[in-house]
Amino acid sequence: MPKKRLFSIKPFAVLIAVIVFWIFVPIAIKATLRSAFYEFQAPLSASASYIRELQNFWAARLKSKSELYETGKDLAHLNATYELKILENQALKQEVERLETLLGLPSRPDYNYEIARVVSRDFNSWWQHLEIRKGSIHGIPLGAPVVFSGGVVGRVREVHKYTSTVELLSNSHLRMAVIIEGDNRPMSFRGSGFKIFRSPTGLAEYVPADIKLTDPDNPPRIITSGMGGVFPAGIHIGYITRLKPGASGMFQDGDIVLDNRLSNLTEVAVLVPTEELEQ
Amino acid sequence: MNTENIKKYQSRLWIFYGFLGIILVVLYLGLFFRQLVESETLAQIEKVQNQRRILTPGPRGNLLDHEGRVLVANKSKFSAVVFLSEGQVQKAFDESYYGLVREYRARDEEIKSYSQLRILSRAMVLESYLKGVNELIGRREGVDANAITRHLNVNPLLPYPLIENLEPWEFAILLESLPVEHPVQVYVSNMRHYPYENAAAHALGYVGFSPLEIESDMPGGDLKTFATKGSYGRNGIEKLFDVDLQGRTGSEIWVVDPSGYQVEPVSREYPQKGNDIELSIDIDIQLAGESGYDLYEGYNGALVAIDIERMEILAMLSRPDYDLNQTSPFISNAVFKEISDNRAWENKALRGLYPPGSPFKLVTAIAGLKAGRIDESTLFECDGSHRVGGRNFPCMGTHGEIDLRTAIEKSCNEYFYRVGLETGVDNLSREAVYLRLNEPTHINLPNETRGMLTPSREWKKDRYNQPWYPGDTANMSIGQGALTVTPLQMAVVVASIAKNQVYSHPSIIKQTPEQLARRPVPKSLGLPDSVHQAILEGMDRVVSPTGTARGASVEGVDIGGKTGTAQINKKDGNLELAWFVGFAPVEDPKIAVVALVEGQELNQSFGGGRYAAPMARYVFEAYFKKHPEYTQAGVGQTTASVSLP
Amino acid sequence: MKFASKNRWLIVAVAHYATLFIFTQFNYYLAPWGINIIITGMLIAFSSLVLNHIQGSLSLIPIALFLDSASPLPFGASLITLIGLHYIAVIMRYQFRRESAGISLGVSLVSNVAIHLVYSFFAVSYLGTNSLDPVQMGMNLLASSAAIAILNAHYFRVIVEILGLFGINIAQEQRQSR
Repeated sequence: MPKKRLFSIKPFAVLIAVIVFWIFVPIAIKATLRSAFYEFQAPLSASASYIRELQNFWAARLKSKSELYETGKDLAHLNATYELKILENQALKQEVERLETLLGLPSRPDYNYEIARVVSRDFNSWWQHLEIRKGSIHGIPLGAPVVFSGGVVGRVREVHKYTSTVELLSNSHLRMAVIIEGDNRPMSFRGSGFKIFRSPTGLAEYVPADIKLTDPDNPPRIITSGMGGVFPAGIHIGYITRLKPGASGMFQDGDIVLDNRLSNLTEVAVLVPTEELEQ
Repeated sequence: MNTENIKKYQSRLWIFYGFLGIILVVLYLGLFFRQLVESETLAQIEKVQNQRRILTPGPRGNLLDHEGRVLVANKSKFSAVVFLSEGQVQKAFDESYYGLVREYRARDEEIKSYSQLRILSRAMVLESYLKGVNELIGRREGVDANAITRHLNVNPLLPYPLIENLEPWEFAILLESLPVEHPVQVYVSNMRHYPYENAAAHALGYVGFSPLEIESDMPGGDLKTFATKGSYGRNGIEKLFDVDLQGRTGSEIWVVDPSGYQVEPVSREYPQKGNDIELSIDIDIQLAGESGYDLYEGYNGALVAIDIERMEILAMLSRPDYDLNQTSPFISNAVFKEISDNRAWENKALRGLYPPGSPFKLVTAIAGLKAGRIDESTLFECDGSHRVGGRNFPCMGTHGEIDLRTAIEKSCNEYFYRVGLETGVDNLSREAVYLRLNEPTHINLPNETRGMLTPSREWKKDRYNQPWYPGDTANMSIGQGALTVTPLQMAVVVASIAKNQVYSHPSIIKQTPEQLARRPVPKSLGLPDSVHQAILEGMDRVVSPTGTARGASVEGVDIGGKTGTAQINKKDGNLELAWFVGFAPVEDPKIAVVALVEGQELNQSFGGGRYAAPMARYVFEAYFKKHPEYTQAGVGQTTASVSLP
Repeated sequence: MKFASKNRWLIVAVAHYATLFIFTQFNYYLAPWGINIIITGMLIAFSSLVLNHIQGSLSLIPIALFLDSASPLPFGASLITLIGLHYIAVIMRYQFRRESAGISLGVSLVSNVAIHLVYSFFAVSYLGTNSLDPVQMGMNLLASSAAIAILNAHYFRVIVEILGLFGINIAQEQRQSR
């Protein structure tokens, strides 16, 4: 039997070889490798989401006819209300446009909504990403804002062929210009991660010193400013729950609690600027 | 596996463990030694070598007006900055530098100065950063190659500003479009902001920047320290209350690498804003005074309004003035020169020394009354001039036989020459001193002049070694001669006359109820009520439709006043001054106002009634608009409501 | 059968991928509670303790690249991490009786903790993550460790059995190698 060695030099050699090899692999090859690996397995994860939809479909099929009828009726009511709201909105929009032309304001970017299903949720301690089932072939641009019925979801971080990665509001890499509802001073918003069993959170910097948390039942609401050019104005983000002195002494930092539903999303809407579509 | 093999294997393991054990023991012994024996000195050396302290001054407190409105605040100044000592920036500098060196070598060109190449390479890197930022916000800023190097040498740990004074929307765009890890970051600092521009500029004062005064109790005193400049009050309230307004300096201690670039923070203490100060100034009244003064554009002088009962300044202005925002974030040399050339730094309200002119006749009257030389019904004959010591002292008119009330109303010189001469210089001086005209008011503002002068027999002897002549008395009794006062003093004197009390120590800081209660009770002016009333009546007539100060009258309010024209003797003639002093309502005086306008041309006739009184009207109007309960309509209303069943 | 034996890394890689896929789906449903389970350490332990170091590396490389393709960290971060940990485990393997269930669980757990640490390091350096919540991380680590503690032995057994289906008898090979 051959003598067994306490240390073998071979594993070290392989390890070092792998690392050195990796360092010298050209970036182009790495990028190709990356998208290849991603696209290679993408259909599989997308199929999982299709299966989930199928599950939901069959679960819905099991509902009784009268139940469905009731739901349908409720929806009809809701639709009627929404149609009224749409008319109202159109009138308001025209009024806003009229006033804007009067004031000579530059026209605001128009967006098209691209609805996308959520394929996977990658919410760990370091980042919070969603994978959605719309990609470059659906015209999703990089950096596009993503919203849902409860407000901002995040921003498109990567666009693949059939899917895209969205970084969630709570992701600390995401930063945007926000305002407090009814105030026009821009502040900075940054995600500050997930807390176990709690809502996702964010951090507002440059909160003006005169903002106070006087009424705990009615905390200041944070919405998008529209000034940064990425997000349209007025979309809900969250509420300030706590204020503390900021680094400059001039401003405060505020803890922001985000919508609980962010961690439970199954469908989102990507806002695609119309100019982008025209191009 | 046979036993022999296991044994062999085991023995090898023991060797391995032994080896590991020895390494550990050596490691721990070494650590133990360093901890116990050398820790003190080592830690100290290491700390001083490897740590740097960054100090950020805390924002100053705000200045608020009487009703809590912000007169002076901090405005955030957003900038796009680069932290030059950050790893990625340093790496980019190096790459750019070596790239340049390679290019030179490839061209076979001789490199004349490597340090110049370094400077150029840094500028190129920042230029590339700036290009992206410019594209985002549509600006065309450039970088100064030498400034970068200077910054690196002096303040490597402080952010280098690429673009200062970003607009809010530019700030928002950069925030949203620049990735979190981008070398360019938005950075906020603060500057003083004056929403009312030049209003009360002299009283508020301004701030200037100078190296931060480091308090000795701050942590890390032995470390090499980098500090942004601190802001210090240079004038007015900003100067006198600097200690209260100063925020607490924040301190960060960083571990730095051998070349002095920051690695990681050790401790961080955020700066804190200083205390707010509530002033007695009422911005509505101040602004009314400012617009009153704007009636005659280009004239210089001062205006003071005092809340008599609280002895608080309601408005104070001095012209020429300047827009305080020109001094923020710093005063440029051009602005400093402009203000200096205009002689606009001086607060004439408390530094300007002027002969008081006719308003001093009130003091003459009080002196005469108190000395018992006249009473309220004493009559003197005015025939247009009075001869004293072989010289004719003129009057502005021929008033005939008049009493005190009419003499005040008509501002009859001859009446007061007579009163002065009867009373004598000693009584006159004593009365002026009693009214504190010979001393500063001790207002809580810096740089109040001490140069005011109440002449007396002794003073003339000391100063000129000359006896006091009756002519001097005549001059003094109409507020001319060597007598000088400040507008603020006159405001306090008017308040004193109005209330038959002697006030001093006016405050520009809003007094708390406790402070008001602690104020010493002012001493009495010492006039019997009927006599006092006679003076007020005379003053009331001045601001009547036939009086000299009719320009100051406000509907529904009885205003007592006195106009005056004083002369300053210049080389080539006289410069006239227009005075108005007044108070209202006459029945229960609440506010005293003094307006002084300097004539601009020599020998230009310049009446207080025409120039100064209308300015005061603006102030009275603003005051009584805010306090309708003091007007006759207001008084009527209250009475009516009380009398209703 | 010789082909399968030489390319056993492929079988293991597929099994690893399937496991990761299942946990991705699992995490989808756990996300509302803020829990995320990472079991990569278990995969490393299997590849390092059961396969030889070359086969182990080969089985881990596709897995690492798959992880990298979906993560915001620089491409290759997971590759370096996984291969590095693999070789540390391989080197340590000479010191242990590798077929013991306790050792394999230990290696799985330690590798998993190491992955958490390395990812945290990368996140701080590359993502501008300035405030990692230690409680959140601890909870996720705990959940992941619990999942590994429950699954580890079964996972090892199942994959060894799958390899057995291809005629690769790991137990026998290990006995022979002594």
